[in-house]
Amino acid sequence: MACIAGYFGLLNYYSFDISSDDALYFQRALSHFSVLEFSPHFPGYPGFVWLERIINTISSHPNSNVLLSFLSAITLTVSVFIYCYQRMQIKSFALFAILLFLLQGNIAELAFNGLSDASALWFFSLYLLLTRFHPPLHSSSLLQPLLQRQIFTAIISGLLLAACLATRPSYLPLVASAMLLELFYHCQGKQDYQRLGWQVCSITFVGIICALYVFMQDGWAYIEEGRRFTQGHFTIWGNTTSTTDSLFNQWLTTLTNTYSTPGVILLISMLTLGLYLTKTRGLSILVCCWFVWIIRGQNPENIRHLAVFSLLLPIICAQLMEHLHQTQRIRPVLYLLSLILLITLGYHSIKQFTPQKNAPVLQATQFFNTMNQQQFIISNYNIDNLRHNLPQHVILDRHYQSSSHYQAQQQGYWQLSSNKLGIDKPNTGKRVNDDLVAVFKGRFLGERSLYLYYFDLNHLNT
Amino acid sequence: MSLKPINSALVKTSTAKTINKMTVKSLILGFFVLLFSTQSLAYSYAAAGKEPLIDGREALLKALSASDYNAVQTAYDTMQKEFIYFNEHHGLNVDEQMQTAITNKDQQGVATALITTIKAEVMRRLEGAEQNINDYQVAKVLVVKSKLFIDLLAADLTAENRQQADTAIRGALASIGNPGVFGVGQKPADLTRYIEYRTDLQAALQFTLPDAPTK
Repeated sequence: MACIAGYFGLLNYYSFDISSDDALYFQRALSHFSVLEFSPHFPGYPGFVWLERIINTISSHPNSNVLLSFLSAITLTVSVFIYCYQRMQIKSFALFAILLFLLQGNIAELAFNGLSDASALWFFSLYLLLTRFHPPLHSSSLLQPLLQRQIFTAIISGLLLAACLATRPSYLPLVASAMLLELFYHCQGKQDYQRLGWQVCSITFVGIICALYVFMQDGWAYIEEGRRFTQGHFTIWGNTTSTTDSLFNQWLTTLTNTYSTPGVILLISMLTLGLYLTKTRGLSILVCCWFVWIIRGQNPENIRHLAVFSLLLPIICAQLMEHLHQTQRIRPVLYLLSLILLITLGYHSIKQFTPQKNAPVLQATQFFNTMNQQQFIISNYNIDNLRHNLPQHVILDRHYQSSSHYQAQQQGYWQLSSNKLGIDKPNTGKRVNDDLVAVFKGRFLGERSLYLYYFDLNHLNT
Repeated sequence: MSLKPINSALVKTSTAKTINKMTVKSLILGFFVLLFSTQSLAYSYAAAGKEPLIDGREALLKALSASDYNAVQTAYDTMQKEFIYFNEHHGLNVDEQMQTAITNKDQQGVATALITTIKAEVMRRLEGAEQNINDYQVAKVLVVKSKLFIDLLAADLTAENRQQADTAIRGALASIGNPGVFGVGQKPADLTRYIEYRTDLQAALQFTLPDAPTK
């Protein structure tokens, strides 16, 4: 507990800023819920909105969604500890698991992004506490009280999965694979299908409440927004990765950026071992299912999609260690391996922390707030956040590239970019990076730095 | 969205058909969005999607930057219907202004006609929403979409007018109310307040459609 308090106490150094447009939309939802008005964006995340409103009632913090993601990251760490202690009954392995969990570089990002990942994973971790992904140890001749208790736990676990989905609907593949895996491992008779049935009923019940809430605010116009958002997702913002590599390769790059190459090799080895061991096979399969899902349908530029790995891999590693620890002669190798893993991950993540207290978009806002005269700023990231924070300046969306440049070319303009520009200017020997004015650095792994360029009136001719 | 005249019956019929056709498709697509929902890679989620006027504007300004008036004409041809609509239904001769400016290779004239048309598009949608104020689905979508056009005008408005426009749009959205479910959470539309906000928006954009209602 001291370890958790110490880590998150240190993280308190950073400001609880709204660091992305999505986080801004969640903040708007504190006062007014409407998917059509991006408060928050589609599909609505009602579970997360209810939770942030509860936090806001208690704390009155203006960025309650960031506070919620921070608290969720803490409770998620506690869940990892409880899970490991519950399964292994040895505190040192539980401590190893939370050290490994916290030393992953993306935990700080999960805590400060103000989004629903950490909260949804916390509900999922509670579900894991109630579930065993291995064949039942007792016989199928159950007494009536035990049967009733099974129905109760089925409903509770179903409600936890429903809360996970209400908080973050895109965890549906994770939830579905967990339910199928549970059914597969316990496929002993009618009561297991009954358990699945109760879980599905619980999820449906919560799903209907969420749907009614969304429709109460937006009516059938919600469908219209869903159509627009879906089209946009597949044709505009879901299709803007900066490389043409396959998604698999992009995800490998993301994994090595997150865990470092030796870290990835070690973790993959652990996962492979985990697949062989009965005790860890269930969770290892879940990790594989999630990986298959993200390389098919998630954006490799957001390492927060690795959050499921962040939760499950430390648990798998700790369980493996505990299993192998029983063999006396390999203990020294085991200690060495654990140490290498902790140092590799720790060194890689700690070196990516920077001293900036504010999120990059806030740093940019502070930069432009010093200017009284109206400026033209073209950006490909955080457009709504910039519009919200800098009403005195003209913010143009780089998606509309031609019109943005036409409008800005009447005078000098700033370009804020989430990636470094590197293209030579036409007809000049000068590189665009010669115009780099400032870099607003991300505070930790997963928070993108913003690059600020200035192009004067004659930049196309010089 | 097409530029058919907005009258209550027509909008309701077309909307009902649209909903019927789109509902199943949207639910399926929506399911996949739930699965695929990710944080924005880049750009705003508010990007308008397929809007002839916005797509045409992008191509037109690209051509105008290069002073390629053949390309300007081609880009204009793709959205000419939108301009003609305002002349035919609102007495705003932006189509003639645009064609004259292109023929004369008048860069400023082209830009002005384009800005006027976007402002007209905003006000047309606001008036359409006013006529359909009791049809929540139609009114809300019209006002929300008009916000996307206002964002395109950012460079052509003063900071004060941008803020006034933003406040007016938020007020207009709030005055449309909520549909509720089986009466729960229902908030009726407030037409008087809506008209006040619509008038504020006219002032912020410094534009009024020639046939705009005076009250």
